[in-house]
Amino acid sequence: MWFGVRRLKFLLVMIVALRGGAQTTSEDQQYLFSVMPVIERADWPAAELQLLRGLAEFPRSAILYNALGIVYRKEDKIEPAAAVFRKALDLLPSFTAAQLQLASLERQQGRKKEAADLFRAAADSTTNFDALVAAGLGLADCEDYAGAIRVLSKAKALKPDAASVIYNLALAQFKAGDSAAALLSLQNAGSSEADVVYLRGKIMESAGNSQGANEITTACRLEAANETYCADAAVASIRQDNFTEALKLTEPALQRSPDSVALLPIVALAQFRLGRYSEAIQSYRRALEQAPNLDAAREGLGFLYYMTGDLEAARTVVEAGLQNPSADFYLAYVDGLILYRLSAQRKDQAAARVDQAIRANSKFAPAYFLRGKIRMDQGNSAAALADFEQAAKIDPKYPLPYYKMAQIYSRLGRTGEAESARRKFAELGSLREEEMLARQAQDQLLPPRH
Amino acid sequence: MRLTGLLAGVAAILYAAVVKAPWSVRFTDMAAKAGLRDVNVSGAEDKKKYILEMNGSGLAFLDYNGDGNVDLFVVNGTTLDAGAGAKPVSHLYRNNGDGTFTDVTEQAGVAYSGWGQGACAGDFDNDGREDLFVTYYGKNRLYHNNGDGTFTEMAAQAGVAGADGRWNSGCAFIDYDRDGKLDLFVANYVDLGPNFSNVPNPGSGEFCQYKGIPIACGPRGLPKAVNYLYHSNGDGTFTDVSEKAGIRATDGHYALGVLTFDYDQDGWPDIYVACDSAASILYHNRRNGTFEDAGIASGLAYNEDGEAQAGMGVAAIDYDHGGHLDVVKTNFSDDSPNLYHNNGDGTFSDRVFQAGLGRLRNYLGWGIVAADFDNDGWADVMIVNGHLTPEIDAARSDSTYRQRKLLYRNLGDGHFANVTADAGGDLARLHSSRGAAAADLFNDGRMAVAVNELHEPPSLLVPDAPARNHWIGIRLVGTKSNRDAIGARVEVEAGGMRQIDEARSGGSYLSQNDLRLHFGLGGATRVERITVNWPSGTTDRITGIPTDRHIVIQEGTQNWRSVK
Repeated sequence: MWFGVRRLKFLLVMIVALRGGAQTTSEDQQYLFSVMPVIERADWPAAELQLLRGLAEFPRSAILYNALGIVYRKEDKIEPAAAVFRKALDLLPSFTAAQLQLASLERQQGRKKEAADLFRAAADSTTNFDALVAAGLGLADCEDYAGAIRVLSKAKALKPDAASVIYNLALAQFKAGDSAAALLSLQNAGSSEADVVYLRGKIMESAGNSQGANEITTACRLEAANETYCADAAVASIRQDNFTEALKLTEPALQRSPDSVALLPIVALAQFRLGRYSEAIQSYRRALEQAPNLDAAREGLGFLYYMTGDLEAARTVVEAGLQNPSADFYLAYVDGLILYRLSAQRKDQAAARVDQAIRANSKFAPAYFLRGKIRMDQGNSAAALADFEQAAKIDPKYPLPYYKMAQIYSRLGRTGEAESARRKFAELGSLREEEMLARQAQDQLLPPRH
Repeated sequence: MRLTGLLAGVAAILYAAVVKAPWSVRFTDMAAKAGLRDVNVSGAEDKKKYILEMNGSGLAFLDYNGDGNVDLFVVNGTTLDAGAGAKPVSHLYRNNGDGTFTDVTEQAGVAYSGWGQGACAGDFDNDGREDLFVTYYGKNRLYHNNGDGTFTEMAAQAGVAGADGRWNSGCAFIDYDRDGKLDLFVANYVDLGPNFSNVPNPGSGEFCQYKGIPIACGPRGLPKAVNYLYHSNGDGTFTDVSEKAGIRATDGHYALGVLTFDYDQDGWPDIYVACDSAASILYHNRRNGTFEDAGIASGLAYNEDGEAQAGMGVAAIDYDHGGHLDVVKTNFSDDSPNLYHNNGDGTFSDRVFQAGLGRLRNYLGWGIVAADFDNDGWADVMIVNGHLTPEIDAARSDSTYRQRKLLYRNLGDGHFANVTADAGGDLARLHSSRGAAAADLFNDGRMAVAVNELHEPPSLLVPDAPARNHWIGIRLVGTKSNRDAIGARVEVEAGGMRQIDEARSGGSYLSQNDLRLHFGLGGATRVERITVNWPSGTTDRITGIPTDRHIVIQEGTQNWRSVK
């Protein structure tokens, strides 16, 4: 999460404009100061009127055009705003404030390249700290992380202790893939600021450092009502099988935002893993009420109903989600599981759903395993073997395909291959269904690690 | 032909009427009224340090005094710090035949305190009196029935006591070599080590917690124990043939419930062992005194996918009248039981979901009884449940320490319906149940179920009234075969139905059902034919037997007699 832009207040931007090297007269500056009280009152129509009057009096005043552009933006008059910023830049091509404003507008309009060019130009034409910060953040926003790092480093050189710069520089370095530099940047940042601690945790986590989870948990504890920090902290706890801790971490944030779609699926997953199925069902349902297209909640709820044996409810939930053309592959897979278990008569339907899941994600071994079982039941041993072999190929540590392969080989009289598959199965070891399926579901339902 | 078809149609309609009738059997817990008041002891009640304190015990129905009324032996445990004062003992309750029982533990000579686990009955010396084997964590007890209402303990003398520190669990008498003398199989659970030295403290490792709550460790993570097969020497002693017979060459371990049955119908009894968190074992009898583990090949080792389950109790049932014995097994919570359908070719398919037995997954099942409670000709299934320790309630999970029992009615079409709510309030009372066994306590066709409840007196669930349908009870007396005819297969044909079962020692969770066989007959007022395939190879066929009575069939007589 970038921060800093919100800290740049309107007045500050104005001052930047004044200090930004614009060739202005003392008269137009005086005029602008006279309009300031109206602007501070946020009386945008009056400010617009007064600035237009001023421009009639000072038609070549870049700072008045810039101010008018800012007012237009406040009034959501995007095209006029862009036009007057361009006018200001025509008058003063290196007018930093106008460059930043226009860049920000371009960014807002989705024209990242144009925006980045303007942010870079602004940064190159100023030594003003705030302007550099704004340009750096703008570049980061345009995903020009190398540019952002360069500009924010320049700002940091001016104010080495500025927390927001350190944070944003580290974030840009992290985004650019340089975790080591990011951590180095954060070394001198305060350890009591939740956002800094959180970022450090995320960087460490992405680098595979197990301490990252602790940092994220600390951030959640520092700012217990923060949904993002605490959802991530809970995820880290779930990954460590500490489900009770996950619930504790999310409690304050959930009290503050009881319908948070960021928190509810995580809370539900922790409740699910703790065997509090009724509570988990309620949490998933609440999440779905807020966001009916939230795949994680729908998949979790469907899977939970499946696990607890309410196959009809599972089917209803999952198949409602499958109406959405962009539904996740896992939803189709869970539907396949449900149909397979629901009735022997639904195996063709189950197979069709699994096919759908495999088309959407050909790297999910359990889908091949399920299809192999269906084909085995349908008496198609060759196709079943092919699926089990594919599942084992995708996930060499997955024991179950070997169990079924051993059965098929044994029934086909291929005793050597049966014995070999049985040995492999024994070597990999078999967990209980609850452990295997719940873990598989957990892996699917949690956000990706990096 | 047309007439036959018409009759079949009429029978089907009549039969359908029986099946579709509302469930009518209501159970009442008669234990307190009947005098079964002794409380189970199994370590500390609230906080358990070792898994040994969690597993509870089984119980056994046997007619120890030969009066025709089935008596009850309730296995008991003890405490870790059993010091001075009255020590808990297992109890033998004599069935007075009037709805009451008398505690005859002391006078029968079976008062013994220790970590009692399971029990199985069998006339191991063929003297016509039922003997009793009781497994322990520690040395087992073999109670020889003296025929005068007393027993003599002779495990050490017979060579089946085992050794201190062994955790013996399920057991069954079985004539595996069909020599007419009962041998003995004893499952073993975990090697706890001397003074529990193999066991870490609760909460100290991956396998020492439940849903984040620290609990006693195991079985996973603890050393495995090995199973024992004792061959009868025919003189009251046994020889340990475990290695020689291939009992140790197995994929499974952490063994609990034992079921003996001839799964492949080759006339040689096999042994199925429910294992906890590991592959269950199917000891296939190779007809030469040795066994091979056919668990994986047959599909009985794991669930349908190959996932390990926490097998506890086990029972045989031909639930679809397919002519082959199927298997039901209880497992841990967050899992389903198994209903292994016998495909008749040496393999099984788990049909638990298709049959409707897999929907409730909060229950941790232990004892399991397959019995025709409504006598409609289709054996039903009762599962008794309870979690490991009261400590797990701190997890606030949907699975609680005390749980109700579950009764599934066999609908006769391959499906079961959960009729617990229609079977009387006592079935829904919350206990932490362990062993369970069924018997016709009043010789009137009502199958009652006794349940060993952890830290409580046992339950005795008795149907309020005899079922409307007809039934027959069969006691087999072997002459060439072992006296109890354990391993004999019985086929009953009545009312257009053909049912099978086998005389069996052990079963359920560390328990013993009534050694007599019970068949519900629906509307049939006459049994057309009973076929008995004795372990000796002899076959008896008798016809035209009136219903609603217990009969005795003696090997080789081609005849039967009623029991008064």
